[in-house]
Amino acid sequence: MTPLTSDLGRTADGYLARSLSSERRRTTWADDRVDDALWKDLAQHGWFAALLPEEHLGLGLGLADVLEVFTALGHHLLPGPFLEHMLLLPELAGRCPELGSLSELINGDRRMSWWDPTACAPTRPVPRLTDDNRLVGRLEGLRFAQDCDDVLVVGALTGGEPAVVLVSPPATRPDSMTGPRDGVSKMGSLDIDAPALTLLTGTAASTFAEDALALARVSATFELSGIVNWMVDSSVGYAKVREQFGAPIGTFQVVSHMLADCAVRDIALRNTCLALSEDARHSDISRERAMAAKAYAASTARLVAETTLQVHGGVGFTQEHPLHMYFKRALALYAWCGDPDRLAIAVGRHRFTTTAPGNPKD
Amino acid sequence: MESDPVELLDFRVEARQWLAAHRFSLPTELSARFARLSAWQRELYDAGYVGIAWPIEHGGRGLTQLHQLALFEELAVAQLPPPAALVGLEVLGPSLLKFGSPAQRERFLRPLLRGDEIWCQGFSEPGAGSDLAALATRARFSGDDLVVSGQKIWTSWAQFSQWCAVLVRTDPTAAPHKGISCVAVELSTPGVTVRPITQLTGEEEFSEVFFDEVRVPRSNLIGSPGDGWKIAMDMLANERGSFAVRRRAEVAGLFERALDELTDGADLDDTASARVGRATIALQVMEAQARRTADRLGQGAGPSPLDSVDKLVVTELEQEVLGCVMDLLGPTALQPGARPRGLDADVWAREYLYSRAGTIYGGTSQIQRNIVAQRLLDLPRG
Repeated sequence: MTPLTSDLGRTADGYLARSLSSERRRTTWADDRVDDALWKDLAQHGWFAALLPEEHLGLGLGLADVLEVFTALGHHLLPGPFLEHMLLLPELAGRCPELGSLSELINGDRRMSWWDPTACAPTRPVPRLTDDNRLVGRLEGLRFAQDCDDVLVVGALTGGEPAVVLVSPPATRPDSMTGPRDGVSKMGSLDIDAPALTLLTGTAASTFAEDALALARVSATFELSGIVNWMVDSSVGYAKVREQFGAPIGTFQVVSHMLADCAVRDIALRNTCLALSEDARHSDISRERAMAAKAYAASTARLVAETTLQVHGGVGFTQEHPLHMYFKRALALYAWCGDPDRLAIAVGRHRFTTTAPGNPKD
Repeated sequence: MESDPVELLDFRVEARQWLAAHRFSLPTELSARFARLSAWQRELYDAGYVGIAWPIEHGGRGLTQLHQLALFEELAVAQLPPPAALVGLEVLGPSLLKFGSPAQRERFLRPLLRGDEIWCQGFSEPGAGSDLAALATRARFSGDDLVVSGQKIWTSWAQFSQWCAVLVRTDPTAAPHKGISCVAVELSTPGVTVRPITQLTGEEEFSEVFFDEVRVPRSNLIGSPGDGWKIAMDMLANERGSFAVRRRAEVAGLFERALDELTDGADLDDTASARVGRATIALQVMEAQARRTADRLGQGAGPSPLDSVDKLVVTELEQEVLGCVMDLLGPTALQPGARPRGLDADVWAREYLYSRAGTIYGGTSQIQRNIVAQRLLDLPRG
């Protein structure tokens, strides 16, 4: 693994390397559930407190300090609503005073999943907020649908009026609400009809929705970087030991060049992450930069996944080898919060409208 | 960049103000263009903007490589060209500083910096491109001279240069890498013929240089006999080192101009937006890469396989960006007389075509991949 530069990133990587054996990783993936024991352990270690303001008993750290945790999560392939608890809840706590009373959510005793209709299923109908503050409808493409105690729903919920609400799905949910156990997307769907706590409305809600999407894209960039790094390490390692025609397959230029291309993309993506951390530390990560970074990360991950499979040959195409999990996770992140093609269009539109002389540039 | 330390930022601001007050446009005809670039170098030198990181005793300013990189970026932002003697300044000069004798440093460095003498690089040959160690230009010792015979190719700006650093084979019995030396040849010496080559883009940026029994003083040997390969690798590393930062800044500047000139204020459709978006993303990736290159150079890191990573990233993404510019030309590309969109307008089509050379010059992308595979990934050699 390429050395991480931040303390928290290194700590996370070390912790996951010790705690998440390949067998535990495999069963967590196959069961498609959040590893409860690990989740509680991480909460106790203060992972969810890193960005929380001090008045919420947090460490008051900055975004730049925690982003590499997502690289470690990608490298070790640990699923869980880390985006929600490490990045979104602190962001919300700063804008929403009443959230402070929901300490079980803040400290990870209850798990929250984030649902934004634009992240997964932009053409599906959004649920509606009734006059008596119930959220009614269907949440298509919900992360950790089986494992979340609460859902943070953002979007235009009441006849176009933006809102951010918190709902609690029923404790027992039918098994059929998620996809097949060894699915690719790991997304479920949920029919909801429950009381909703309105946290933000109007401009505050739409601003939060945009910021949350940007944070999701940035966290995905770092997670994809960890996934890519794992895949490059796996392929290069394999090419050194797998022998055919009397030599390791990495000897053959056609293979070594494929691996060189992947290594170059791995480094460039890592440098993109470092630049984002620097920007987070010195100023801000703009929404357009978040889109651009995520687009690059997703296209890189797909290219590297396809090449990694090619280099591994037949054994890579089985579930005997962990590659299939990384490939599928890369595909899910590829499509989540905008695929590279749609993000490129948005980045291009924005670039074009700011390109006239005298206009501010990125 | 926001993260520049204060004194680097001060330098950048000073440079930006000076450059803004010294704008000019380059003539298109090659001789006139080169003459203007030489005069520009003298102006830059007099203002303290040439050899920024060179030692003061040799005419430099004694600052850091980061200052030099900042100047390249400011030149690109101001849409002004780098000095004429870029090869001498960035590639040959630093190696002369390292390997040249005191007498050679005294004789050559200051005129090189000022632009009074222009240098070119005599490396590749028709039979020795990617396989540089196969070079065949011979130099035999004869009294106090070396006698050089052979042919070099792809020698940039040879027709405007006074000196050439030539890689020659002084010991044909030694292993290929070991029998090579580096010698400074004055191009006005009898027996030297320079023949410019017309590039795909229509310019004559490089030449063939023929050496027919050219007598060169032995004191023009740079380093010792047999040092040629070591010196050549040092020069190639110099070339790659600042290239990533400089070229990224140039490509970013080109793309700004292209968007201004080619988008006409009309709305872009999805296809064009996606293309512009991918080019924008490519530029951001190049910028992130350049930050780490600047870090390494600023810390005085020597040549490494990461230089090859840089070249691959920058040249392949440059092709993405200029490819986008090519696509923005649209159907009017074929309209006779169309400027700047026309294929024959010698503007944007030329920049796109030039970008295709990026993956060839300075070590092809295939060679760079070999270096990454063998020296970074430690894959076994065939």
